[in-house]
Amino acid sequence: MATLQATTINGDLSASNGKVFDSGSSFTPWYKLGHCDCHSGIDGRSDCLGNGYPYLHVRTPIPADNTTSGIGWMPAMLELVGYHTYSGEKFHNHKWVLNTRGDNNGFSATELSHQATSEGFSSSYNVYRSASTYGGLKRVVMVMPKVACCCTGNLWIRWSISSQYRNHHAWATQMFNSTNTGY
Amino acid sequence: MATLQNSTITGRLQITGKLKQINSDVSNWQVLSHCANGTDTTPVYAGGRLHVRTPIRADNTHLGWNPIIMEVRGYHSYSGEATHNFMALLNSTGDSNNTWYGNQIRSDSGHNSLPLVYQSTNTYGGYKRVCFSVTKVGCCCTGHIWIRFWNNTSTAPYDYAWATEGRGDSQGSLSAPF
Repeated sequence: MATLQATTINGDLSASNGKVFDSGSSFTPWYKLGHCDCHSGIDGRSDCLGNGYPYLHVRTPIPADNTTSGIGWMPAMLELVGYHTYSGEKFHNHKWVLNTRGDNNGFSATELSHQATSEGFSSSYNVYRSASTYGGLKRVVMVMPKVACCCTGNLWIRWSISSQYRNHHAWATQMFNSTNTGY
Repeated sequence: MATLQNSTITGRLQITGKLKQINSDVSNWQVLSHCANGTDTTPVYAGGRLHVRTPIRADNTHLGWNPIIMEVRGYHSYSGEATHNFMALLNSTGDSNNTWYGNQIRSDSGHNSLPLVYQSTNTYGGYKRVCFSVTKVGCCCTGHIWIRFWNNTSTAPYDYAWATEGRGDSQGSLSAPF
C-alpha cells in the first residue's frame, strides 16, 4: 500500500472500488444499502409478496457497549439519508446522538433533527441496542418505516466516531413488525 | 492518469477537480454563486428567484424508476435573508411514456427559500434537464448555493454544464427560463 505525504491532484480523483476515509474529520464514508426485504419464511411475509412488515431494521457494525471494543463515553453522531418507493413515499433525513455510559453501560440514542416532511419525529423511527450479540457484542440498530413493496429504495448511513467500527462486524437488514424489537 | 491501489495520505489531500466516491454513490458538492444575471429585471441582479439548471437529464436516460435525491444548501445576503436546505426526489417513469414526476420536495427546513423543482422546457445537449428555483434577494449581495446528488451519481452529475439565471417570478408563477 502506498503511503503518500501531502498530495495535490490536479484533476479529478475517483475511488472506483473502495472508499475515501477522511480520518481527520472522524466521519465515516456514506454506507449504501438497499431498502427491499424479500426474505421468505418470516411469517410468510415478504416485500416481494406485498405483505412485508412496515419497519426496516438496519443492524450497524457499531458496538453498543462500553467494553474495550465499544463506545463507552464516546458519543457519536449517526446520520441517515434515504428513500423508499419510486415516488419517495418514505423519505429519511435524520440525525441522532448515540451514547453508551462508561460506568453502568446504559445505552441512549437521542434524535437531534429530522427533515422528512411526511414522517418527521415519527414513532416509526428508532435507534436501539440489539438484544442479541453479533461477533460477541450488542450492536446499534436503526429503525425506519418502509412500504410493503420491493420497490426501488436506498439508504445512506454514516457516523462520526472512528471509522474503525465501519468494518467491525457485518451489516444486516431485515423487516420487523416492531420499532424496538428485532435484532 | 495514475491508478493507485489502497493508498494512505498522511497529510492534506487537495483536489483541484472533483472527488468521485463511486461506491457510496454520493456526489461531491457543486458550489454556485447566488448573484446571477437576470433577463427580465432591472437592474439585472434584482430578481425574485434564482433558477439553477443542473446537469441531470429529466428523463429516463438518467432517472426512470431509479430516483436521484437532490440536496441543496445555501444562503443569500449578508444576513441570510434567504437560506436553503432541502432535498427533492427526482424521478421519471421508466416505461415508454417517460413522464417527469414533477416537483417532489421531501424535506425542507430553509428560511424564505420556497424551493421549486421542474423540468426544463428546452433541451441542452439533446435532453431536458432538472432545474430548480429558490428565493433570492434583490441585491448582488454575497450568497452561495451548494448542490449534491444521491444515487446514480457516477456520471449523471457531470453530464452537462450548470447554469444560473435570476428572474422576477415566484414559486407559484414559473417563468421557466431554461
